[in-house]
Amino acid sequence: MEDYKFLFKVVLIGNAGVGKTCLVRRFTQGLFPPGQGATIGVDFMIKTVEIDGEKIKLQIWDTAGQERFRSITQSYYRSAHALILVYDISSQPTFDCLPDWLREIEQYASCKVLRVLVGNKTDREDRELPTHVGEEFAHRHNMYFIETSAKEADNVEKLFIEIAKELTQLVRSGHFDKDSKVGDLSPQDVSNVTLPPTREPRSEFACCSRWISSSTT
Amino acid sequence: MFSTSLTFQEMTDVTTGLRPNRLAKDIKEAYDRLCKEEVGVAERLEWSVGNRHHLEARLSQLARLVPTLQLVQADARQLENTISFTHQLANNVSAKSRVVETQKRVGDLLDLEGCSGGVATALAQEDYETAAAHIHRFLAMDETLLLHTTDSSSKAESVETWFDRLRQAERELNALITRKFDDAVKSEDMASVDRFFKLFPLLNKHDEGLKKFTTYLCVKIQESTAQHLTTAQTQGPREKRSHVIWADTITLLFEGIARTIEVRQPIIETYYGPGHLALVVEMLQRECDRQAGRIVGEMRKHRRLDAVVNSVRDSLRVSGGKEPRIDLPDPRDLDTLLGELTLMNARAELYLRFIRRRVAADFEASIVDKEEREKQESIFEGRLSRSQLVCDMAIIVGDYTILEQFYLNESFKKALAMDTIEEGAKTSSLVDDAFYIIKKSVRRAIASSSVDGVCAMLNHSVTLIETQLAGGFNQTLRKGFPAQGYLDLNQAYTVLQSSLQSTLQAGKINPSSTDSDALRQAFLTALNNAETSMRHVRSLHQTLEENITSAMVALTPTARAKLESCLNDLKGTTGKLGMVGEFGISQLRATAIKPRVKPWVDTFTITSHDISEDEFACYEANDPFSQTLMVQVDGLLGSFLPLLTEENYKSLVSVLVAEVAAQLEKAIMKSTFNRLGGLQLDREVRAIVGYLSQVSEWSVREQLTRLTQMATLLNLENLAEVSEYSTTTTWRLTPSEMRKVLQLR
Ligand SMILES: Nc1nc2c(ncn2[C@@H]2O[C@H](COP(=O)(O)OP(=O)(O)OP(=O)(O)O)[C@@H](O)[C@H]2O)c(=O)[nH]1
Ligand SMILES: [Mg+2]
Repeated sequence: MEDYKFLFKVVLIGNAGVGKTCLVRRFTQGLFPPGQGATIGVDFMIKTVEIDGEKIKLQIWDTAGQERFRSITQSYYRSAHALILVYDISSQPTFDCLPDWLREIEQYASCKVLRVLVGNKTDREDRELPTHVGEEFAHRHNMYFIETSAKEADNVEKLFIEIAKELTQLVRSGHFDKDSKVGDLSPQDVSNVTLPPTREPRSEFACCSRWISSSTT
Repeated sequence: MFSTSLTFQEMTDVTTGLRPNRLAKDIKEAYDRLCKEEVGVAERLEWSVGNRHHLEARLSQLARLVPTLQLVQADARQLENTISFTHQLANNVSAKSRVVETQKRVGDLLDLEGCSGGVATALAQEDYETAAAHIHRFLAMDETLLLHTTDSSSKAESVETWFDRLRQAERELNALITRKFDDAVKSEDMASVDRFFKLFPLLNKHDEGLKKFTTYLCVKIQESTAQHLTTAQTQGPREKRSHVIWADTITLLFEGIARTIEVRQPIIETYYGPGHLALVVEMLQRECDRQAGRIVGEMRKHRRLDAVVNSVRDSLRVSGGKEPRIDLPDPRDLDTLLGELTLMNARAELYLRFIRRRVAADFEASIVDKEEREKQESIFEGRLSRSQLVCDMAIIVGDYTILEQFYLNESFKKALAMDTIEEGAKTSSLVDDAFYIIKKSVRRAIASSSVDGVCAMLNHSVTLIETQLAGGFNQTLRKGFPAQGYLDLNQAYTVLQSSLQSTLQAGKINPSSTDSDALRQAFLTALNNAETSMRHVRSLHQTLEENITSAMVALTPTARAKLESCLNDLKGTTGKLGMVGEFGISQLRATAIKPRVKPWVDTFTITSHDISEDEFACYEANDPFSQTLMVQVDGLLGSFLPLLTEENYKSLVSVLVAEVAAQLEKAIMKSTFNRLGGLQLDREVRAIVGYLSQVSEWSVREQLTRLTQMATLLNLENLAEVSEYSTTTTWRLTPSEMRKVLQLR
């Protein structure tokens, strides 16, 4: 019997090659996969973390960045509790696409979803996007922000742990509505956490500048 | 024969003897023996003559086996070499080993001489099998060692000559076999292709042989695909399978390759040994990638797939906002295309599964070390899962999903536009239609064998159910159930019923009926739709789960987990629908029940319960309250009975019973009772509770128990009786409530 307090769905999106799969592998398996091929469709991984002594199960959906699989990947937005939007700090084009991604999120995701902007590959020498540019973008669009390196395992753990913490807090504060039967999740109805469809006004939790992260703790 | 000659010997011995008697006897005995032997010899002779053909056949079979035996012999020699080499190592220090080693080298030397001569003869006779067997033996020898073995320089010279000759022969044979093989391929001489293919491993040219052979197989595949493509391109649109012609064509490709592997694998295994299949399959797969790519390309062109997908993708992106594009396909026209796309991927999955199984079995047979085997398997799987075919198919599934999502949404829109409610029906056509469409879409995805496709369609279905169905019902229910505006309540319900009936008959809103009637009908239909949808979701979930289990086999744990999660989300939509239903019932309670029950119970309040014997008797004959209440409740329930689904009706009953009980409790608390009034109350409560228990479910009876207990309290003679009574009763009233009730007398 697996026991856990909450189960959250976390979906990673962003251009092809920004390092989504590497981030997930680093977090779930503790490795940086060499010769990682492009993701086809959607990959799926689970990791249980402990927050304040309680087990939190993260169901991580790693989507393909390629446009061709968009109908498959978009279908996961709506049930996501957290969306991680990733760009590559050494690639301006991946940053320039962010508004397109945001439009997709607006269209398909729940308004209550926790949105996190991630600038990946901080280990690279050829940075094109200074930290403050990402930070400002996140601030403007009411998102959390963090810079990571899947290669050097920088901030990766922190990224997911903070998400788990934040989501746990949001559930406790009733953010996901009374109808989300999060509290009494039994193993057989694992995905009982139902999010309401977009009805209420836009997300209220002003946030951002928290866990901005050039310094790793 | 021997025995006969022996007997002659005996006979000469005997003639020199003395006694004639004995002689005669001996002669007789010898004669008998001879006779017996003659019979035996005759029998044997007869048998041999009789079986001559059989024996000859056997002999010729043996002759034919000779090349094979030579191979076996060569293999055995090789094995012997290995064994003795090991032996040699083990005994390196011992002097004995020298003897053994020398013996072996002598054997090698003898063989070497034999080989050297044998190759020349065999080559001259075009007996390539024998020649190759000699070379094979030669290749297993250690040249330097043998050279050192010979001490005399003249002997060494001849050894060197043999080696040179054999090396020369090896080169010749190599070139010869290669040329002969190529010639056989060119002239399509299958027998010769097979013949020379078998010789490569004898020259230790395994990979070369396999590569040449597989290249030849690839050419065959190219040819047949080209032929199939031409057939497909020239096929008229009216022909029977023209709607799935590209799926058929790619199926032929897969089947051809699978058959090739099926037929060739035994030959490869026999002459090359196990463990070589991965190389062959990888080469075949590259050809498969190319040919499948051509077929997919043709399909895209002929079905205008990219254009269709692009227009649909754009329409999904703008999502309702602007004018629909003119070039947008009709969802019904997509049926065949969707069918063909799913078929293509299903065939590819089947083929890939076959390949995986075969290669895994070959690894199993050839690699003993588990770790090494798993490593090889994962290398192979890595290549296969990155193959062009897999990528092409993933793109097809991606395109399929976009079109299927569009199909689902558009079909739903149509169903919504044509939503009607038939006479006597409680739900509208939308519910059945919507679930029919969802089932069709997801099942088609299942038929594609693509896990990502199925998951995506399950997700899209969840979105549809929650936003369009549950969301839509919720919107209608939010407009409320107008029940005000009637003075005479009985009349109100008669009007409601008849107007509903007439709207139902008209199939749309009757112009003579009021807006309220339309709202009421819409409200009840939405309520019933929500409840029916929940049941549909449950049965859909079960059906799809079964479909998936039976149609999608050999899934990876990840794939299984993905499917499970998405199926669970589908089941989870009942939660959303249930909430909508609960909201609807609460609306009914607020607008259709509460205001009705109030005046009925008011009759109780204005009827005095501080009464005389006469009044009490009069009440008995002429019930002032309970009878009317029951008639009213019955009327109300009766008016809803034909309008609500069974589950919704049950919910309504329980809400109504709870409401009556709650309001009656309040009314009792506001009244005062004398002894007879208490009795009268008891009479009334018994009647009402009896009736309500009869129409309701167990779950609401607790509230009724409270009423009964209140009446009981008001009928007790003195306080002592309360405690007496308490020993046999579990009170549903709190002590303070009991105190308050007792004060009413
Ligand atoms: N230097 C550096 N390279 C990285 C890092 N993360 C990923 N990469 C490299 O970026 C490339 C793409 O990584 P993936 O994780 O496959 O990218 P993805 O976002 O999953 O791509 P798609 O699956 O196609 O959407 C790989 O070559 C990785 O080695 C990082 O933190 N630092
Ligand atoms: Mg990836």
